[in-house]
Amino acid sequence: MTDELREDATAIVRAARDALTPTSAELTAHEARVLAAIRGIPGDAGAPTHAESLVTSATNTALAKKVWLALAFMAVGGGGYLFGASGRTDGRRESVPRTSSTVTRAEPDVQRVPAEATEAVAPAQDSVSAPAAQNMPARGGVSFARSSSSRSASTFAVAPPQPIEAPQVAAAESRLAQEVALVRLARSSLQSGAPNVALLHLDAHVRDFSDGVLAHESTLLRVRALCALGRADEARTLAPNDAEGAAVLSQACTTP
Amino acid sequence: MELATDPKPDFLAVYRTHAEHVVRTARAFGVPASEIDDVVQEIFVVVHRRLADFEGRSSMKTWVTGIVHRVASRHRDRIRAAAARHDSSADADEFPTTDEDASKALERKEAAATFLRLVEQIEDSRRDVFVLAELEGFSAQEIAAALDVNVNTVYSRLRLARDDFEAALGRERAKRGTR
Repeated sequence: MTDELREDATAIVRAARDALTPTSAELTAHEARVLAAIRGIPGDAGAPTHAESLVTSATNTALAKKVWLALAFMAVGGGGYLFGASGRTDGRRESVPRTSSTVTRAEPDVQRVPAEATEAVAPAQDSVSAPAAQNMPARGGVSFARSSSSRSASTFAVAPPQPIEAPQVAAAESRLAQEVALVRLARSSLQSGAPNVALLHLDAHVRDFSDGVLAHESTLLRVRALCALGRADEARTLAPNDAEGAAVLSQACTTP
Repeated sequence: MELATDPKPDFLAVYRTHAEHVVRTARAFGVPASEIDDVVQEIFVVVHRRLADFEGRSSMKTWVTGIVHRVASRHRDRIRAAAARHDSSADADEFPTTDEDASKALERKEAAATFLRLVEQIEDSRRDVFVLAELEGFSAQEIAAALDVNVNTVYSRLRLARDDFEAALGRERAKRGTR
């Protein structure tokens, strides 16, 4: 870059960089929330190892059952999804204490849930972890409940089995989880060779989540589906005018 | 299909490598502290969803940043729409209690707030380039990849953004001086 910022402006940027950088406690809290959100969403093609290692979740809600049923019927994605489903539908399977940080770090009590979902599961929710989830940017209910405040992330490994279903139920019912489930159905349909079914799911996504966080992915999937159906012109019209759109077009609309 | 055989990048590794950058950048793109938890969650749900699609055409860093940009921009728009409806400060941060850390925390908060106030005065497309260049130390090529614009555009936006930032700083100083 040719020009440079003046020194005083640079000093402000530098101070801001420090100030905006999350602390390691904040990062750990974010991580727990993120993993809880992903765990609240039934097994995902994006990270099969997690889907498997996080099979302890108890998504025995009406919505989750619907999602699983739909998945089972569609038999999409082969054994992975079905394995995940059978591991989850029995609800209360508990995690064996283990040293894998992926599981123990993911205690989902700090997760944010939409108000309506929280209400729906309120009776099941642990009275300690609920306020903790609202107010503590710390590691969440587990460490909070055990009043251990200063363990480093790496030693935060072994946790006893916890009844942790409430937040996951909430997560499964969150709008985000619904949206993800829908787009995942579309992707699965596409991967199992049913682009027309994928389009139906994508129509539903556009209808219900027009401003959804997965809008871009949804469009890319639609482009793929149209390509698969031989509707290349429509696919080209629709493809986002960016690198990913071009990549999907060149990949999906040329290979048979 | 083509995705089935690819080795999947490990999501947790991606999270741990990029989380710090993601949080900071989202804030600098205009996501208020009060919403950062939700936005970070959204960003990584998208990353997780799309990890299988990552093809190494770009670096993971610019790929993730592209997602941050999309999600944060949506929130930015939403926040402005809400602010237009009723004029309340979207970012009413609580101040720390009388800890020993309080003054340090306050300092941090002020440093962040000053910067955010200044970049808020830069037009969005320039601001985003500015944030990635100055705050995150991205090269022009990396910015071009992350924001999906060409490199010359990056250079010109950055030059303008620097002028805007310095002008905003000048105004801020003038205002304080007259107080």
